[in-house]
Amino acid sequence: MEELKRILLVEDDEKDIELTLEALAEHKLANEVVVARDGAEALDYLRRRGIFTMRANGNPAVVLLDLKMPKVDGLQVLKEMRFDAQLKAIPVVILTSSRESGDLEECYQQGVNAYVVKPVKFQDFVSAIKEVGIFWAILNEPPPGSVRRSR
Amino acid sequence: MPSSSTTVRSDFLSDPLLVSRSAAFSKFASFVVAASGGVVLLGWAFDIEVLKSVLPMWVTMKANTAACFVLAGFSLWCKQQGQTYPKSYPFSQACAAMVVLVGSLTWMEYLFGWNLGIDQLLFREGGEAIGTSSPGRMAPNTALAFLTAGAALLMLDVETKRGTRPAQFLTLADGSIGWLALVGYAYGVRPLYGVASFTQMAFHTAIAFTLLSAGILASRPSHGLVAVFTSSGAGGVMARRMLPVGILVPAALGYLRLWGERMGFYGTELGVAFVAISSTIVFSAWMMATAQALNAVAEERQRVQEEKAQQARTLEAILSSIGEGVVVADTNGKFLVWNPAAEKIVGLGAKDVSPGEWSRAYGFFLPDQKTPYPSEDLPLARAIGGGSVDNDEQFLRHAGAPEGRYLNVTGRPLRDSSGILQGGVVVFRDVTQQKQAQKELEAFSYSVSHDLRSPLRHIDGFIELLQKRLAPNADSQVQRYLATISGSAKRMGDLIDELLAFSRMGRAEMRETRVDLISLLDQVRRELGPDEKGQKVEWKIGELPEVEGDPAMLCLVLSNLVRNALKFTRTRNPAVIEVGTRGGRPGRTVIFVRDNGVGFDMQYAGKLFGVFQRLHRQEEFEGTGIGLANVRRIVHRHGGETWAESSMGAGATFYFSLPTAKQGGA
Repeated sequence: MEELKRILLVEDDEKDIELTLEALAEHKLANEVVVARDGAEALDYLRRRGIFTMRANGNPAVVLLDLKMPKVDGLQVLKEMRFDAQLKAIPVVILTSSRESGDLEECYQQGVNAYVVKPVKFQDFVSAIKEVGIFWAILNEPPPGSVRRSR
Repeated sequence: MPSSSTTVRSDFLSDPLLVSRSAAFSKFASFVVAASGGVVLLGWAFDIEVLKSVLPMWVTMKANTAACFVLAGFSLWCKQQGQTYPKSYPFSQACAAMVVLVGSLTWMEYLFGWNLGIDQLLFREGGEAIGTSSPGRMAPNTALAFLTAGAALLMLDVETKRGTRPAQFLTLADGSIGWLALVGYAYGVRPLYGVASFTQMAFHTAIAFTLLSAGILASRPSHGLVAVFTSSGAGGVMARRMLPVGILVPAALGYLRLWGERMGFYGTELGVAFVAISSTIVFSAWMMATAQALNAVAEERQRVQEEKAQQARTLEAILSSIGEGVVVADTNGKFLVWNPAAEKIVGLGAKDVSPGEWSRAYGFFLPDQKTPYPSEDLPLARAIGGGSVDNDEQFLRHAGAPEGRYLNVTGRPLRDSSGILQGGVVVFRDVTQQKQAQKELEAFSYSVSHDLRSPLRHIDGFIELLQKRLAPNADSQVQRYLATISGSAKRMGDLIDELLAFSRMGRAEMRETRVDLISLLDQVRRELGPDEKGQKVEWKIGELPEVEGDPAMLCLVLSNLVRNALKFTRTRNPAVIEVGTRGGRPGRTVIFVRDNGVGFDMQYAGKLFGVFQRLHRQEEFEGTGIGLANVRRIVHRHGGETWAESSMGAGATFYFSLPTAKQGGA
C-alpha cells in the first residue's frame, strides 16, 4: 500500500481552495489536506495554537503556500518556519499567481523547496498539482516527526 | 634647487607665443656661445689665426676666454626652462662657478700684478701678440664680464620677495660690456674695448658676450625684468617696440656721424646737429607709431573685457534659471559656484568644509540610504581630482530634508587652456519623483500579475469542472460555448503575461557584451524546433557578425522574428527563411530575416511594431501582437532601428540594425 502523508494548504481564496482540492482529488490526494485560510492560521496550525490546540501530533509532509494573503503573507510564514527549529525541516512549495522575479528570488533566499506559478489553464494546473502532490506527499521521504499513515 | 613656480608678478601675463620664442632663442644663444668658444679653442689647438682673432690686426680671443664661453654656454643650455633636470643641475652650477673663478682670478692678477700661471695653462701665446699686455691673459673687461655672467648663471632662479631677479641685473653688466666693445670696434674707438694699456677684448668675444647676456635674459622670459618685456599688456608692447630702437638707432646714427666727419663731409658742430635732428625725427616717428599700436592694444583689451563681462552675465543668467543644480569647486574643494537650483535641491548652501567632510556635512548616502557616501568617491571630489562621473545615483538626507532625496549627479574636471587642472563641476537633479513613479509602476505590474490572473484561472477552472459534470449529456453547442469561454480566459492570461514581459523589457538592466549572432540563431532554432512540426523549411543562413548587446534580449529579438517567419510561411511548401546581413552605416550592422510567407500590405507597415497591433485575423494566424513591439523596444534600447518590407503574398523582410562589436575589446 502507498503511504499518504498530510498536506497543509495555505490559501485565502476559496475558489482557489476548491480548484486545488479538486485537482488533488483527481489524483486521490485530497483526503489528508488541511486548509488554513491565511498565514496566521497556518502558523497556529503548525505550532498547535489557537483553534488547533487540540490537533493530533506531527508535522505535515508538505506545506502548499500562497504568497499574497491577508494578515500574515506567505513570505512571512516561510521566514518564521525557517527560524523555528521544530518547523524548519518541513518542505514548503509556493503556489502563486505571481510571476515577478523579485518574489521568486526572495523565496529561494528563504529556503523554499519549490516555486510553482499557477497556470491559467485548469488542465495545466491539475497536472502541476499532480506533480507537486505526488512528489512531496508520496515519493519524498519526509523529515522525522511527520505524520505517516497507511491508507 | 631652481624654483619651478610660475608665479608672475607683472600685471599682465606673459604672452605665451613670446615666452616660447624667447625660450627657443635662449637655447639657440647658449648653443652658439658654447660652439664659438669651442671653435676658437680649435683655432688655438691648430694655430688657425682667423679663428683666434678674426682679422690679423685684431687682438686674439684668449684660450681661457674661449673655455669660459664653452662652460657658460653649456651651463645656460642645461638651465633651459622645463629642462632643469636635477641630474644636470649640479653640473651646470659647477660650470658657472668655474667661469666666476677664472674671471676673478684673472682680475686679481691685474689688481695685484700676480701671475698665477692660469693664462698659459691651455695654450701658449707669443710675447709679441697684438693688443696683449700679458701673453694669454684675457682682457680686464672680459674678466669682469665673466664674473657677472657666471654669477648670473649661478643665481639664475634666485628671486627676491618683490619678484626681482638679481641675475638679470648682473647679466645686463656683461651685456653692456660686450655691446660697448662692439660699438668700439664699429667706431674704431679703442678705449671702448681696451682699458688703458692692458689687453683688449677681442671682436668675437664682444659678440659672444652680447649673445650670452641676451640668452641669459631670454631663458626666464616670464620673470623679473624680462616679464615686463614679454608681457601681453601695453607696457610689454612699448618695451618690445622702443627698446631695440633705443639701443640700435643712437649707435647707428653715431656711426653715420663719425663716418661723415672722417670722410670730410662736415665738421663737429654739423655732425652733432645731424645726430640731434635725426634722432628727434626717428624717435618722434617711432613714438607715434608705438602710441598707435598701444591704443590698438588697449581697444582690443577693452573689447575682450566687454566680451568676458557679457559671457559672465550670460553664464550667471543660465546658472540662476536652470533647474539643474550646478556646483563648481577649485582643486582644494573651495566652492566657487553654487547656483540657486543647487541650494533648492540640496536644501543647503555652500559650506566652508574640506572635501573629506562633504559627505557628513551634506548628508550624502549610497542609494541604499544607509551607508554614508565615501567623501573621496563623491562625483565632485572625483572631478576636482581630474575624474569624470556620469549619472551617479546618491541619496541625500539631513535635518533640512528629513525624508531624503535621490540625486542623479554628473561630474567633470575643469582645466585651463594649458590643460592644468583648476577644479571640477557637478550638475545634478532631484530624481526622487522618478524613483517613486518607478516604484509605483512596479507595484502596479505586480498587482496586475497577481490579481488579474486569479479570476482568469477561476473561470477556466470552473468551466472545466462544469464540463466534467455535463460531459455525458451536454449537447455540442453547450460544449462549444464552454470551450470558447475557456479559450478566451486562456488568451487573456497570455495577453497579461506578454504585456508584463513587455513592460519588464523596458526597465530591465542591460548587460552589454559581445554577442555571436550565429550561435544565438542556432539556439533560437533549437528552441523553435517544435514549432516547425509538419512544416518543410528551407533555411538560408548567411554570414552573421558579432555585435554589442545583451544576449538574452537579442535572443528574444531573433526568436520573435524567426517565430513570425515560421508562422506566416505555414501555407508554403517549402517555406524559405533567410537570415543575413546587409550593408549599413559605418559601425552598424543591419540584420534581416526574410520569408516567402503571406507578407503584409505596406500600407500598414507603420503599425507593425506597435503594441497589440495585428495585421491578420486571429483565426488566420494566432498571436498577441506584442512580439514585434518587443523587438522594436529591445533594438531601440541597443541604439538601433527596425523596419520591414513586404508586398501581399510575396513574403516579408524584417530588418534591424545594431552597433558592430569593436575589434579586440569585449
